[in-house]
Formats: sequence, structure tokens, C-alpha cells
Amino acid sequence: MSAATLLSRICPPRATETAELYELRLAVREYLRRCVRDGVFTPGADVWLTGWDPEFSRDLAKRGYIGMTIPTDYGGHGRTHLERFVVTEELLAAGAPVAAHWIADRQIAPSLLTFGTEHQKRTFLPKIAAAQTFFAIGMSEPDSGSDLASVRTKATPVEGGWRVSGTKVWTSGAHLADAFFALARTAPLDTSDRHAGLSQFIVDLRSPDVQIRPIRSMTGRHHFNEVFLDDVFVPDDMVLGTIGEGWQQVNSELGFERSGPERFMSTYALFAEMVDETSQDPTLFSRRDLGRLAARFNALHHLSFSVANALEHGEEADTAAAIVKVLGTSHEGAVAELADLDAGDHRTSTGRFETLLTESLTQRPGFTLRGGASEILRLVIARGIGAR
Amino acid sequence: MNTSQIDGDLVDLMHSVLRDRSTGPADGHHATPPSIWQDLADLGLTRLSVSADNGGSGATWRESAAMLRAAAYQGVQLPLAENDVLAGWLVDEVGLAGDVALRTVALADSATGSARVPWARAADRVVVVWPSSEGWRLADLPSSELTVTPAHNTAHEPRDELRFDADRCESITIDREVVHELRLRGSLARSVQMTGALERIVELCLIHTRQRHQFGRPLAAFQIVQSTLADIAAETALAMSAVDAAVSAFVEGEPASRGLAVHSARSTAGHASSRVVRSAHQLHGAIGTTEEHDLHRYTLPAVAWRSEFGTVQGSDDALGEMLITAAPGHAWSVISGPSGT
Repeated sequence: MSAATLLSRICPPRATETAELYELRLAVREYLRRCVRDGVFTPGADVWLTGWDPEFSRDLAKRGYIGMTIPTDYGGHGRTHLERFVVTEELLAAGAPVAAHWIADRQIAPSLLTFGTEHQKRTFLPKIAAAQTFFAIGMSEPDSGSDLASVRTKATPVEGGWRVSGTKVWTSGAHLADAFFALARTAPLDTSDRHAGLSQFIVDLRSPDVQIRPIRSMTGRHHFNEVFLDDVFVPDDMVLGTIGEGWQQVNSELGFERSGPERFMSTYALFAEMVDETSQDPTLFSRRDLGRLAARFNALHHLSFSVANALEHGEEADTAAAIVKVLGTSHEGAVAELADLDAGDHRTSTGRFETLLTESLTQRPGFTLRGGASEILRLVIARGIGAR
Repeated sequence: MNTSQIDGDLVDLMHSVLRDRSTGPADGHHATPPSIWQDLADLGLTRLSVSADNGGSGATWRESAAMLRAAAYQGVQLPLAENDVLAGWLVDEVGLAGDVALRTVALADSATGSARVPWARAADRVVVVWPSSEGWRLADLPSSELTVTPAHNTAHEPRDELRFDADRCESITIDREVVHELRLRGSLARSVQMTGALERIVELCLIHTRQRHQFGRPLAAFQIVQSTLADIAAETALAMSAVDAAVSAFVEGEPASRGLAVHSARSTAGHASSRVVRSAHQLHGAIGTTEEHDLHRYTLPAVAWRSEFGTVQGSDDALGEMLITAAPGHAWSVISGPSGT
């Protein structure tokens, strides 16, 4: 592999944030500052999983910060992925509760735009952009984690549609969302082509044939669910894309999912609190430790933005996206680790530090698992650089 | 597309001239610049960002950085950073009349001399900067007025001891902001060079682990090895990204944004080199520790450079200081930087 090739695979060309993007950033930042001041929300950790607040989502929608990349014809705002990047990065930096609309805004809307029928787009996109409909996504199963091709949920053709049966797990927000995309087998597993025979279905989570059971986290909180599909009827017009091409469809949107700011910002609110607490009490954290973590936040911010820019222009950036996820999710954990090692029992009058630390430490195991375990992503990177 | 790239043909030209011209400790003591210097000068590649008035090419930091990275990648030891973005810039900045002489820079801590001056023995002139009771002074001195005692860094690059007599030379007063920028430029130049070396190291690791067979298969067939390769590629990508951002801060960013960008770049590249150099030697086995193998032409500089023009932990400290002295709740504005970054 020549110099140019290796480099272009691991690090897309640098993109500079334009003055227009910066203005948008400042506007969002100012709005969020007011929200915190007025008690609209308290900054949290891992808010894109744990911060479910439909009212706040609807306020964001009113301001045009949801469904940004959805064309105006479908109720969206016709803006670029870079504009969406800037807005989401600011939301995460502020620790704002964005979980309710997160999956719909990040994955569902782009998939509908690429693979959905006109009917599906008209049905769902305007409601997503208005934060009136929330989605979950059904990929993992009891026996399928990182190895997604092994899913056993089965869809069988019937008159006018399909019957879907199986069990999905770790489905974030399924108990609160309206619908989800379920990945299911529509043809028996072919061991010579394990990725063939998978399809995506849009399933109404309020259907009587869907049972949702909470999976409580070790903190006692309820974010994840087990979703039982018992011969759920899905009409033909709720098949997403092409039968048999589910694998390709799922993978086509992975770049954005893996490389976004949520892959390195999940504990940023804790870091901000560490900095502010140290300004008050200089013995708390060393400048050196804070500085080293700040450099990494800065570098990840640039790398993640460059990947978004490459994807926006239709360029391949899967390896670089996997790099952002591996480095970023480990960095999120490093922030929690330093906070705990250095000041685990630090108490503040507001209790904010303790709350953020506890949230960050207990959510941390998930960072390097969700969206592809780091061990598997390292193999994805290795393949991308020609090591395998 | 709002990317800040430079002409790919120019980068290809740089690599084609530098390729197979690797120079290292075994190739002499650099009393004169290597023969390739004149070839590069004829192509306008030795003072890319210096103004045309002073014999430069009038390009930007971006082109200079590409050249520094290419030379580090090709393992060619040259006083490119010193002649171009350091001494060359200083001559422009303070309004001296430049020429095509090979210059280096000495950031002295006294009015008598300086240790570890890069390439002093090979330079025609040395731009010396030192602190005096009336502020910072600068003199552009011909090598004939200097006493140079050869020394070198871990990578065997000339880092000479220099003696001069401040009372006897013609000097000017310069603003401390100029000295501050000189330090940032030095730090950035070394960070850029580090990324060129890291990139080459990752490639050497890929080549070695695919060629070397143990237990009946290539090393690269072991998942644990693939995982290490992924990690060093990832660290290199991150360093590259931070360094490119810092280079941009010198091209289109506001001067106030440069400190954050340079320290982030130095920190990221410095910590990356710990990981990459360590893993590269582990993956190469004993052969990687020899003079015969090329690996050290990249690993030794990657380590030596991170301790020049500041230290990695010095940059970490500086970043921490910027954060905790910012207004409460403003850490993110510091980290994400102003417009154009």
C-alpha cells in the first residue's frame, strides 16, 4: 500500500468549519446555555441513550434542529450532514436530553430517504422532523451480538405482507418508541454467503403481537428492552427497501453511525464539570491530565468532522469511521476513569459532579460495545488497512 | 468541497525527489547538507512558505508541512523546518533582507550561546534569538562568526552547541510575541515531522507482519497482531488529524487559535508516538532493533522530535492551564476552537 493510500483510508482530507457553520454552532450553544440556566434540563452523561425527554425534543424540532438533513418536501430542513454534525456536537457538549429522537434522527430518517418508498417517506419523515414519532432499532438478538448475520428472527410471506417472529434484545427505548426497524431472515442461512437472505421491516411497536419486556441496567434504570415478535403482521408496504438486501442496507448507513460526535462526547459533561471544579479548587485534577484529555477531545472533534465531510461528499470512509469509534469510545471511558481515580469521593454543593461521575462509570461498559464491539471494529480497521 | 488540501502533484513531486535518498547516522556527519539539498532548492522546496522577496516560494504552511512530512516519511534528514518555517519565517517577520543562504535558528537562553541548535554545522547563517535585560534580541549571523561544537539527538541528527558574542554582533529588538510564535512553529514543525515518521512506521509494520511467517502463517494472520496494527493506524490517524488542524490554524485561522491547536497537535502526536513506536518494535521482533533494518530511521526520529521545541507534557500542561483559566462553562469553546479551525 502506498503512502497516499494508507493515509487516505485512515484519515480523510481535513475539512475546515466554515463561518456559516460556526455561526450555527454559536446559536445552538447560546440556546442551550439558556436552557440550562432556566432549568429546562440538567446536563447529563450518555444523554443520547439515557436522556429521554419528548418535550425537549419537540422544542428542538420547532427550532429546526431535528430532521435537519431531511428534504423540506418531507417536512425536514434540507440542510447538510455537516450542519447536523455541528448541532449534535453542541447538544452532546451541553449534556442535553436527546435520546427520544436520536435513533429516528440519526438512522431511521437517512435509511428511509435512501431505501424507503414514497408512501413510507410521506408517512414517517414529517413526524420524525416534528419529533412526533420516535423510533427504535431492532438488530441484536439473544444469540446475535457483534455477529449480526446470525440473526434468527424470521419473516414468512403471507397474503398482503409478512409474518415476523423472533426476539430482539438491547432495544433502547422500545418501551417509549412508536415503531422500530427489525432485521429478519427472509431466506434460510446460506453458510457460503451469510449476509444474504436478510431484510428490514418497519414494525409497529404498539401492535398486540409485540411484547416488550424491560432489561434493567445494573443501575436499576430502564433503557434497554427485550422485544418479542409473535407472528406480527407487517404489510408489504412496510418492507424497507429490497427483500434479501437487509445486510447491505444496514451497512450503508454505518459510517455516520460510527463516526458521529456521540462516539467521543458521551462523558463530555463530566469533563466540563471536572474543569470547572478544578478552577474552583486547583488541587482537584492536574492541569496535565485535563490537558491530555482535552487534546484528545480536540483531535477527535477534527477527525470526526473530516469523516462527516467525506461522507457528505459520498466518499468512502468506513475505516476512518471505525477508527473514530474505537478511539472515541475508549476516550469516553478514560474521562470517567480519571474522574474516579483522582476525585471519586469529591462532593459538590450541587451534587452535579457525583451524579455525572456515577452515570459515566455505570454507562461506560456500553460505550465500547454498542454499535459494534471495539474488538470487532479493530478487525474492520485491520481489513481496511490491508492487514487481512 | 471545503477541504484544505494541497495539490496532489506537488506532494508526488516531493516524494519522487526524496524517495530512496534516505540519510541516517550511517551516512556521515552532515558537516555539509546532504547532496539532495541543492536538488530540492532548485525545485523551490527548501523554503516553501518564505516570501518571494526573500528567495522563497511564497506558498503557505500547508505546503511546507507536506514537505516536512514527506522528508520524515522518506527518512531523509534535512534542515527543512529550520530553513523554511523557522529561520526563513523569522527573517521575513522581522523585516530583514533574506537571501538563499541555508539558515537555522537558535533559541538561546543566554547572550553567549545555546545548546542543541539543529543543523548549526551545516548552515550558512544562524538566526539567533536570546533574552536580554531590555527584551528579546535577534541577530542573523554568518557561521564564520560562530563557534560550533557538534552534538546530536537520539536520531543522530545534528543538534550542535553554539557559542556567539552578543556584544560584538549587530542585533535588533524583537517583540516577545515573535518568540512565542517561534516556539509554536517549532513545536508544530516537529509534530508534522512526527506524523510523517508514524505513517511510515505503520506501513513498515504492515509489510513486515505480512511477510514474516511464524507457526506456519504470516504474523498478520493472528488477530492479536491485527488488533495491534489497527491501534497504531488509529493513533496515527488521530495525530494526523490534530496536526493538520494546527497547520490550518497557521494558514486560515486567527492567531489566537494557534496555541490551542499546536498544543493539541503536539500532545496527540506525542502520545501517539509512544504507542506506535513501542508496538512497531514489538511487531518487528529483534530485527527491528538493528542498524541493518530501516525501522530505526523512523522510530528514533519519532521519539527524538517530540522532545524538541517543548515537551509533550509541557503541551498537556499548557492545555490544562487554558481550560481552567477560561470562564466557567467555557471549556468546550476552548476545545472546539474558533471559526476556521
